[in-house]
Amino acid sequence: MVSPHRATHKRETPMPFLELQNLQKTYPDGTRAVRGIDLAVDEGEFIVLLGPSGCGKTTTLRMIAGLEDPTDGQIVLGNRNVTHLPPSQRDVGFVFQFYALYPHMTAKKNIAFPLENIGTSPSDIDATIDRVARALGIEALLDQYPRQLSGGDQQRVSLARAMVRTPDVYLMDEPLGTLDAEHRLELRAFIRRQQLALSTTAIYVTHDQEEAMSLADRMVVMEGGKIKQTGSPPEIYNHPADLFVANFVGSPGMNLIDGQIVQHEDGLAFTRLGANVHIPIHLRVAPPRAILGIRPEFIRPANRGVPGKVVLGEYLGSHAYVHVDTPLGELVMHAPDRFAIGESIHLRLDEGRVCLFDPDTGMALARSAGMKDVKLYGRSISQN
Amino acid sequence: MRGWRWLVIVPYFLLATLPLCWLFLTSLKTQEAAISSTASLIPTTDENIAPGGLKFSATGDAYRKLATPHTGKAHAFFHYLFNSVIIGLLSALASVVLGTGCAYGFSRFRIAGTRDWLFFIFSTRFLPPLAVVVPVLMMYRLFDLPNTHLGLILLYTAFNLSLAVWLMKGFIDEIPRAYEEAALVDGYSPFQAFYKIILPHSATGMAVTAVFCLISAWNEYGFALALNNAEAVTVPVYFAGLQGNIQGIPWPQIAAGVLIFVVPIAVFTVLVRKHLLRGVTFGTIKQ
Amino acid sequence: MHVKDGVLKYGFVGPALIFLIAFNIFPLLYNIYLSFTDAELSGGLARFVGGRNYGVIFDDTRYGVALCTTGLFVVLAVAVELVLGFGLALALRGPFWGKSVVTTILLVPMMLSPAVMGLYWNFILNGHYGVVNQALAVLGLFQPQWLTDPDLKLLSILMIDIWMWTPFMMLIALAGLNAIPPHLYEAAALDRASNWTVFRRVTLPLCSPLLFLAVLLRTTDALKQFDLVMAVTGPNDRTTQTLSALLYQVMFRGYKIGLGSAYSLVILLLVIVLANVFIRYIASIQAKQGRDVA
Repeated sequence: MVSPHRATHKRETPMPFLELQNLQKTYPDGTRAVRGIDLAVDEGEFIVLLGPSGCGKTTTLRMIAGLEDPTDGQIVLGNRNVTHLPPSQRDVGFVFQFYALYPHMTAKKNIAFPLENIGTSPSDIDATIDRVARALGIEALLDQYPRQLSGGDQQRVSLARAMVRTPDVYLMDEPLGTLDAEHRLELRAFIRRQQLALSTTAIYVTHDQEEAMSLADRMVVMEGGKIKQTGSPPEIYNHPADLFVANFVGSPGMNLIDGQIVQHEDGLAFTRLGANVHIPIHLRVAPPRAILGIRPEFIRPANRGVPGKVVLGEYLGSHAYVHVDTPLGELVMHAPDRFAIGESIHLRLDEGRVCLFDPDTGMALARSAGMKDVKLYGRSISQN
Repeated sequence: MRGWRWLVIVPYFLLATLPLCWLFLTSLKTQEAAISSTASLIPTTDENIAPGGLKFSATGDAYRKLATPHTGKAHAFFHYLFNSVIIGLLSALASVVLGTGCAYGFSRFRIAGTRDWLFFIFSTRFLPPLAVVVPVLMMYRLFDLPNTHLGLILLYTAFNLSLAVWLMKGFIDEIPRAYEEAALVDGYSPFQAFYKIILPHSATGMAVTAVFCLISAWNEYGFALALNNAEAVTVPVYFAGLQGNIQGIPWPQIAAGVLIFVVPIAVFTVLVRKHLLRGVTFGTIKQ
Repeated sequence: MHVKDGVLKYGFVGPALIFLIAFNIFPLLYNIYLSFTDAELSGGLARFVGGRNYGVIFDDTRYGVALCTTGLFVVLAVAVELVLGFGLALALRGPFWGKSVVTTILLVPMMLSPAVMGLYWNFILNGHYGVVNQALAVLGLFQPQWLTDPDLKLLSILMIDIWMWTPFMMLIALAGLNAIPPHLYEAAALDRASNWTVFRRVTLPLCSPLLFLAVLLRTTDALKQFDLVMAVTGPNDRTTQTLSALLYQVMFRGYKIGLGSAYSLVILLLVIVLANVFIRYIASIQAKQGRDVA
């Protein structure tokens, strides 16, 4: 539902559709909820802000909506500086976590509410509601009051209310957070399909990393009022920028092993004191110590490799998470089947999927493209 | 195990309600029966009952006499009842209107010194009426307000405003902000959000608050006594004025009048029973 | 909410605040001025008399007596109402047939007008034809002169106050009792605590914040006692003259507004001290409930 006008407008200006520049929010009590966010969003993009509670993701969203006034920085929406405009002058659609349907109005009245004050004729209102209701499958519910509806249906109505106006951008604040698992999956797919069909820009806030990855064109991982990493779901998942992202994204999180980097055979290898295990690594610059991260699915049972003993198995039907005690520490492996507790096995770590982090800063260490030019902190290491 | 509860409840219940039952019986009696030294308890329609027994002949005379002025009074009871109704209703209305706006402001906006303002408002309820009534009287004299309905309405509005603000703030605080925020992003102005969303949602709260303001104005005596001796005399002041000579007090008529005066309050008590706790604790405790 | 609501927010809170200031702050300031004059109710020019009015108060034995009467009244009324109200609440707790009807009926007296009910109680307590004394006569008991015996007048006013306000204590105590989570009692039962121990260690401590609130509210209200005194004995009865009654006597029967203002300010000081305790307590309750403005 991109208006022709807006489409032209997009061609003429290569600028991003929505831009946050050094956005900050400090509450009167001194809490610094958002500490300088820079983000450029293209038209039609589905952005997910992901982070633990208190990371500033909801505050950021509310500032975009105009429900909070930024302390510093700018918000540019469709070429307009909207930083300090009231919400009514921004043309955004907002879906609240707790539905926020007006209890004294029927579902239909709720959906009509955003149209009533912009002079839409009653027949147009009815037509729009019909169309949106059909898309959401809530035609039968229109005459009911919110309290008569299930949580999932209430959230559908609230999505409908946000959609009737075809705003510049949809803002969604954990809209599925309070739903049960079944409704959540169903509505999640619906939201994405709808957004793709209308190709409207959307910003979606959640603390559920799985939801984030399944929905996002681009994910923005936040912590402590700052952006930790921005990227497509595979980028974030496979190449976390730091230990926080490595841990927060993925369930279970990455296996993280504290160890040393030493010269071994032809090149550098990661090891742990006392463990007779070396994992070849490729780094441009290598510190003496590092934290090695590897996702459970990149560890598999093998005939040779890191020896270990099974200490715990979590069987999940299609697969199992097996906890194995190894000289490198306890590792969690994604295995196709169960293992008996106490069984001795060998593990193979996929060297190409290993991430390395600086133990002091927590930041990911840059990988080297090839095997040349490897340095161990100033000491040049010869290849041979 | 819980049988003992009746040992407490039944005696207290009787002590608490018998005066009200007696009120009703008295209103059906003649003056002689009312001040007879042998109390009669059972009303009958038989008109020829010898005095001194348990039975008495019931009559509606006391109620009829309320329509004519009592000796030495300018007006009949219903005139004063009308004063009470007008003053009570209008001041309750004004308190709720002003109080709702004020409560909304403090509930939703960042206002410097919100806490202090709220406690200032609260503390006005602690002032003994007589401590402020003389300056008010002086002020009123400038505007010809003593002895007027408007004077009492304004005074009761001010007196009940603290209650109204605190009660309404309790109710409005319970309305999720997301409701107004949804209206704001849907393109409504903050004031539209207030009257389209908050007002309908706080209708119950406003009704409850109005009832409490009405009751408090209805029952008030000190201000009414100090500010009035002629035109806007309310029922409590009227009754108190009948007291000069106890022997001469027309008790059946008083009982009838008191009954008419308190029945609406009893009805309102039943209507707002779920909110009584809030009402008497300024909304600090919610059930 | 958005901060750019400057004018709007003052539009909401302004009218009420102006009203309250006009009817409270202004009269207070004016009262302070009047207390240093010899103003009379009938009008006329008031002369500045310095602290003379305050001197009169401290020479006036009526003030000391009224202070004692008020204190005695407040302590007795609040204590009896608390004990009775809490006892009733204990009896009313838990489900039983007719509970809501009984509770609601019990609450009615506190909603009624003290002035009007006080007048009606004159009828009930009358020494000659009052129903109370007739009942006592039937039972063969002594029949006191409730309204004329100087030793009993204050007691009569107390009784009426207790009749009116015990339901208030009961209402708040019931709320306190209902707020105690049932699992605490289940835990206490598993710990084999006796009924008395449960009452002393669970019920009472968990109820006490609300009971304290009730006591404070009642105390500040009873301190202003005026309506019942006026209805039962009038403002100038030495045995029942509370501070408010004394104030009325001085200002509206003696027409001494300057002196009355001085009285009212001295009384006010007392009320302010109590109100302060009260407000602090409310603030602490609100902080606990965690629903703040910001």
